[in-house]
Amino acid sequence: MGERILAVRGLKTHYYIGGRVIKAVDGLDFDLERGETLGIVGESGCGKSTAALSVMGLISLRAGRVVGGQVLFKGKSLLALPGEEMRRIRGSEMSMIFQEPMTSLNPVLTIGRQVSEVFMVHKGMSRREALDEAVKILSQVGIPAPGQMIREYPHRLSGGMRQRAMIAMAIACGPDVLIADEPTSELDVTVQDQVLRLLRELKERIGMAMVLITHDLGVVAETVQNVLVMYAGRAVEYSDVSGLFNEPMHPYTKGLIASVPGLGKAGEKLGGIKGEPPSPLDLPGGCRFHPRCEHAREICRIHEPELVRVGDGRLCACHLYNDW
Amino acid sequence: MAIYTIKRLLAAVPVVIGVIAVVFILTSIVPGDPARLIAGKTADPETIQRIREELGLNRPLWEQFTDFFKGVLTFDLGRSYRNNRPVTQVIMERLPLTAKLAVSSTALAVVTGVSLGVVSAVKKDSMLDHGGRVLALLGISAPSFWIGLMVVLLFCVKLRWIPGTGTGDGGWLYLVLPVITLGMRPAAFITRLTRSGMLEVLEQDYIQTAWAKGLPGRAVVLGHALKNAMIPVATVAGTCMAEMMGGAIVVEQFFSLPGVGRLGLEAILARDFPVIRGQVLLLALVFVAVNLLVDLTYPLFDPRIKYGGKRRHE
Repeated sequence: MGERILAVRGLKTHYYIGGRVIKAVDGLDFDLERGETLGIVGESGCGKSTAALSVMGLISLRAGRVVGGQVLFKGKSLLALPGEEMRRIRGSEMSMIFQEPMTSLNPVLTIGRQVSEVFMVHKGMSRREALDEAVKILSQVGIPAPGQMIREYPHRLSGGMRQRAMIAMAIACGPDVLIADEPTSELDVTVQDQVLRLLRELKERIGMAMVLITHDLGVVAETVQNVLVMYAGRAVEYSDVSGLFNEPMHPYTKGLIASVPGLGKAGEKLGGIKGEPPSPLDLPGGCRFHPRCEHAREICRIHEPELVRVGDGRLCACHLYNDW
Repeated sequence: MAIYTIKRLLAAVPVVIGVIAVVFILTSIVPGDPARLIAGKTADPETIQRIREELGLNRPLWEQFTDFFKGVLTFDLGRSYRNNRPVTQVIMERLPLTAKLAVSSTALAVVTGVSLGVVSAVKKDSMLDHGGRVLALLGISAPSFWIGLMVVLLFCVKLRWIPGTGTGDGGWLYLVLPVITLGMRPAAFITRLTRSGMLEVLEQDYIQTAWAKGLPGRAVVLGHALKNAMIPVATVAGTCMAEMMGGAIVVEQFFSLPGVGRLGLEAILARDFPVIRGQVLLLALVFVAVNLLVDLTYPLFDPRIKYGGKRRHE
């Protein structure tokens, strides 16, 4: 067991929209060890991004509020930190990259300015020094001719290059944790591969831990060590990556894996999950997956299953495994 | 960009011709005969006829129109009916004061409008925001003569800080109240524009990125958001300045400032057609020039906007 760097306990993040409460994240637990890569998977709207923004202390940007739980980062309780201290952690010790490289860079500021300000804010460098550092970091993420690139505006870069620039900003201060929220979903498949390879490489070089949020199980399979499967705001399964693919336990995980072409057995009919994810405004009682579950029993409608140990380092929240 | 500028200037020619044509038609159909006004109430019909011929008012409108345009090309706008001085000279005398008024009012409007708009957007739905919005609504709705009265009442009568009227020795002090009065409406307008622009920009993904980088709030708002919200502000500031350059009739009259606006008013009352035409021509030219200048500043705010030149390569 390595050193635990990030621990999320019972995280609850709700949105308040028009007087209604949307429980986007509703009691989430996970741990991250130094140098580990954890994948968080689930359908759109299951609370993956909300969880990430809550950990970063940015959920207020989306009119959401963390209403319960704890986020422990290197032993510090982030949710209790004063805003100014949290700001100093953001972008230096813990940073985040986003899904849309097209819109995540400021269109009216040069790449150099956007990368160098991280050094100016967190390392107190002068503009000159920071720009020199920006050139170095841009070349580290594989951007060609970084000396010229710092004078360019984002619209002159391709999607892949922009995502590299985003990554450069995120890793500039050598963070302990990088949260990547769907970093490759908007990119072409070939570029996706390059960016994932770059992330793996940087992770090794810097020794940072990474949380990779994605709905793409293919990305998970080739990038992460451990996987957390989320459904309707909660974790339903946690496993190492090979265990998850070889022997998925939760019916939802099984459905997810069956629905990806090529991951199941050859010649097998493509499976799936019937029904729609529940509306966060109207979550079903008991197990949140029971209306879509083939194995649903009486107890599933009444009691919400706990996330319990079901094997070697594996966790699952399902009544099927209660008598494990 | 040079090609773009030339194209825009050429496109302005029909605009200016059209504006002058409309003024010609309007001045010819308004009641009141300049010759009669010049000759005085007791003049006999022969004298009036003689004056009409001297001024060329007996000639067909079409001829007067083409003559005027020939004059425009040689910077000769004719002579004032009232004192026989060249119109260009009369206007140039009045222009510096109006220009001072226009530039300082616009500067005041941009500075206060942008600051209030930013504060309002950042503190959305706070008391400050609500207060600012009420003030902005007031500034847009209140007529300038009323605002003029109120500032005179406040600064001259109650506080006794500033003299009420006159240009004195041309000192800036006398411009303070007219500038406040004139700047109020554009300031209010820019406040609203900045607020709505900033609210939209602050929702963008790149602002989320800026927060995620750990930038302090001031750097996010002023460094990342503001520039993105500035294009409509530049447009409005330009239009306001152009309007004021043509003369702020009410405010110049109210504060007895001898600017272009008052000149225009005097000319209209005296049916001094050459001066009216000259003033309208000036207004049209200033509008064209300021709008072009504003458009040329857009690339400073948004590098994705580029005029002519090499096409960007993707």
